[in-house]
Amino acid sequence: MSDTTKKKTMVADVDRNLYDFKKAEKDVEKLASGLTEDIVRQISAKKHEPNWMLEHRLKSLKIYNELKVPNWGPDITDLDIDNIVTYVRSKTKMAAKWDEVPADIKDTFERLGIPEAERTSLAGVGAQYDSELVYHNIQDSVAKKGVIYSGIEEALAGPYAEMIKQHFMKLVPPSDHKFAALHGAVWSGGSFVYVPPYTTVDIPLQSYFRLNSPGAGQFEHTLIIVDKGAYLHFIEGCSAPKYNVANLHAGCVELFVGENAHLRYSTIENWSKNMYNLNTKRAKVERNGSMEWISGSFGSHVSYLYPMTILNGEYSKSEFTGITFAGEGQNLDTGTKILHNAPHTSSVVNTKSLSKSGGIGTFRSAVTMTEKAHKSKSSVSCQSLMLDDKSRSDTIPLMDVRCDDVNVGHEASIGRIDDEAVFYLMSRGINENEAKTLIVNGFANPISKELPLEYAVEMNNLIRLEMEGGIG
Amino acid sequence: MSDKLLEVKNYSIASTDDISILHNLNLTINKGETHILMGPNGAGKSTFGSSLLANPAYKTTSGSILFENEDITDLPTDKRAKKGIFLSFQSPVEVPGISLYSFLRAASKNTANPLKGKLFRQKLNDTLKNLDLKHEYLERDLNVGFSGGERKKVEMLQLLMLSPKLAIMDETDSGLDVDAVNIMLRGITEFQQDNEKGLLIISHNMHILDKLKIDKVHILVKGHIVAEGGSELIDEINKTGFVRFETQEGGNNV
Amino acid sequence: MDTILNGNNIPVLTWNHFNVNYKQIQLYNRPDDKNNPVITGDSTGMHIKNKTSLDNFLISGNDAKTASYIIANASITKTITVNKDNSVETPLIFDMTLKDNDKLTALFDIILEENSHANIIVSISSSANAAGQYTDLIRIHAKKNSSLTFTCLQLLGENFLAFNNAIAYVENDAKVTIHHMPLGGKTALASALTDLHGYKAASEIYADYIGHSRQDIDLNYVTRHYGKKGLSEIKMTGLLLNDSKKTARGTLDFHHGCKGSSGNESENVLLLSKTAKNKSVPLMLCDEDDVVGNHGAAIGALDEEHLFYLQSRGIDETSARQIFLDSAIARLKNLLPQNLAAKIDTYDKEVLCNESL
Repeated sequence: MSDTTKKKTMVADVDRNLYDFKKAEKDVEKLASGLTEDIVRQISAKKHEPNWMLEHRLKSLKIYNELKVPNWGPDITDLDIDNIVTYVRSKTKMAAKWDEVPADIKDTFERLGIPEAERTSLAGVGAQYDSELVYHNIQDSVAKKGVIYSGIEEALAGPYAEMIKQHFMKLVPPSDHKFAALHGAVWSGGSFVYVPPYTTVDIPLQSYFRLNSPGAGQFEHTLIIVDKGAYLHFIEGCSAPKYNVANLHAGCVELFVGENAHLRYSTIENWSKNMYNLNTKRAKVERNGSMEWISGSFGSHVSYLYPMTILNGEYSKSEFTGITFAGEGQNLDTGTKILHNAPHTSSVVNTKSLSKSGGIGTFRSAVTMTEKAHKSKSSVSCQSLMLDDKSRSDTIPLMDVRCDDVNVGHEASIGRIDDEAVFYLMSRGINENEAKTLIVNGFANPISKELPLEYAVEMNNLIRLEMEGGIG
Repeated sequence: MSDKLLEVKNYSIASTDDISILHNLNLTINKGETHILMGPNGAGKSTFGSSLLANPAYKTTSGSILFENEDITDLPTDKRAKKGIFLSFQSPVEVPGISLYSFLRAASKNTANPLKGKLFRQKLNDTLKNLDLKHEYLERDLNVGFSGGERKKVEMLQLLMLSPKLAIMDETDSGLDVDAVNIMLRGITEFQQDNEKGLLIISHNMHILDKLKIDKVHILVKGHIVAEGGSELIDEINKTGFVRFETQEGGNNV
Repeated sequence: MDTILNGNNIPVLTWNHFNVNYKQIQLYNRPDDKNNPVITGDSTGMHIKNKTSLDNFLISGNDAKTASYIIANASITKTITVNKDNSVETPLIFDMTLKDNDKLTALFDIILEENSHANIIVSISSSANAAGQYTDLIRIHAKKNSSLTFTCLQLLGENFLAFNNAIAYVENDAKVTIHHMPLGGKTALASALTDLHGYKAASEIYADYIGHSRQDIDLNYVTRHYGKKGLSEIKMTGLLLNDSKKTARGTLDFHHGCKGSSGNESENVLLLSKTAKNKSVPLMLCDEDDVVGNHGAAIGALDEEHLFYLQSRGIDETSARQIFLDSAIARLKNLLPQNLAAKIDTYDKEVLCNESL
């Protein structure tokens, strides 16, 4: 017994060597720390953006100054906004060939395996380094179908400017919360995707976000419009090296899923453990459309992350599959929100949460059935696994039902690795750590099997590394 | 032909998403008769039983159902039940919030000759004893937390209390121990005493059948009735299974 | 001047715009109206006195302000001490009948000495259309190997504000069962907090309600596990009719060190009206790995499968709704002694206007 306890306490930190490499800052221009109207005007001026965008930024700044930080969720008092350098930009132009990307940045993405993945399994790739996109490319065959995948700032100066204006921060208004307002004021970079009606994009598009600069913020905006009858799988990856100062990520993702359209949005978030990840993601789904979220949260010091689906058309559907792994020094508050706002809509939520080495994992959700949600159904299931007795796991679901002919179900469970299951596997000749690793992988399996293969492998490796630390 | 109880004519049904399940079935049960519907797993036996009570999971695509010579094809579930058709569910549903007692009271009010007050309680007590069911089950929520055997007994309790004209029993004996099977047999035999009533037993399990009076056997394979006959069919299936019927059906399809 | 306070505070906050973090209420500061509880039933081996005993007994709940208000306002104060090794099956009943426009505040301390067992019921009622305010706080100290079943039946008139509070400190091998029936009142709040400190300490919290007319029901139940091998259950069951609304918070809170504990929380809400509204927040907080916690909630209308089963027995949809209500009434009556069950019949007729039985 005591032997086991000892092992548990010796579980090592995740090996983040893969992600934790820094690049010296060179040829960069930085704006002064803190957030003033001046800074916002400077950001806007550099981008040569339309005037409505500057107005939007200034309005957002005003809202930002009026709103308070949330009185719920993990503590963020250590995040001093005056110490966030809101704008950091490499003096380089966006490239469409990796050869044109500056060598040190290109090396970063090579080490993360992005160009390799693009060659083998992706239809298009966007790469953002700190505040700006450094690379954006889409396969010719996909582009020929009329699919648009480009930097959002670039698109703002092109033929889709009006479409962007109609959708930009309409799902996530700056008034939504303080960090949405911050995003509205200082957003920079991000991708724009438009999939024309009845077009299927067979292989995924991927955007990768890398935050290299210490003490910086990343505020990219992703806008995806999947027109009626179309299909898209979009993958988002994030990472950063670890610094001793706080970094902030307050991105915003807005997804519009048209009638009979289907969007699958996968994220593997692996920010370093000094990151405050206050990201906002929201999707609106029209009649008979369907939205699928796959969300893996492994990194960050503090996370507030609740991708929301608004089921706005009859028979629209949402499926959310998520896993959160909270290790040492991490306080990850994750979950989802679903608003059923039309008849015959349905939602399914399946989440798994693991806590170890003093990590805090919180699952938070809200399912709302409005007066219009006749004959709608929702089922939420969340399971938490405690890997030692130093960690914490909380479950905070909420159900708001304002319609009688609906069915809303919720189930949650919490516990540790079942001793009997370990015993059973050991009785078949498997050693204790291997048995536990098998069980934890089995616990995470319903989620990892939804991930693209290379991410599933990566996730299982992360879990294996955590568990192997126990032998130490 | 005033002794016809149930007559199913050219009856086809499909699921609500239009997958056809039963094809052109014909079957007549007269008063006083006991029929057996047999077939391999997935043949559509339970679907047939359930559709006789207008389960909203299925829709009739052709044909008709007559009950005591009245066309009931378009009647909803509760109206059919009130006419005197009873379905004993293969897996009775848990209904939290309704006690077994309130449920029995409400259901018995809808029968042809509802028992009142003391007579109702008297019959209830006798039937409980007969089925070896404890009185305290009455206060528990309908089927909630009941074991498989208890649920089957509670279905039998309802059958005997409601005393319908036609009882459809779906896999009544599956998953029961010997004692429980004997109790169920007692219930079925009691029901058979009345020669105004009819019985359709759905089964792929033979244990219960050799102890009962049986008038006719129908074999259902892949949604078709492929053979009909007397209890000799049961003996054959006991020995050789459904192989002969399955190949026969497969031949039809080619 | 009235006191405005936030009652039924949720132990961990969530999004504010759903309005579930607390319930704001306004309470009178005028003196209580006179009331003498009628005490019936079996008080063998118990000692009842008209003052409190657990004033220095610390249980830090989520509602310190509510507790202070009740302690400051209470005109009825009682201590019920159940003697060591004393065991009573039949209930001891405190029955309070309030008049129209009454204000009443009650504070009960219940002490269970070692190996004692008791069954105590507090019943509060008024005429069906009366107005007024009733608040209470029941403080329970269950010592080693004792057990208590405490039932609170609230049948106040349709313009009452009612707030029932219970807190319990549970020692080794002791068990406290709290059953709330907040059936009356325009605004009906109920809260219970059980602290399982002892080894194998146990608690069960049940709430049964029947939301009707424009009733606003607000529940907050918390079990905190501190001791090893604790066992807890929180179960809320109800129907919502007419324009009623209900908010339920249930929290299982596993503290560090409560190894081997197990908690279960469940909620079942049947919505029987298009205009009824329901909010549920079932929390599970866990700071210990060696525990088992489960919660489940089911909210909605009769589902198709259930309805088919009932219809296959000749019960149409309208009757199905009726028998759910009848079953709820019958279940509550079964839990109460005869004289209190009769009050439920009156409530069924006069408040729910249900003539079917």
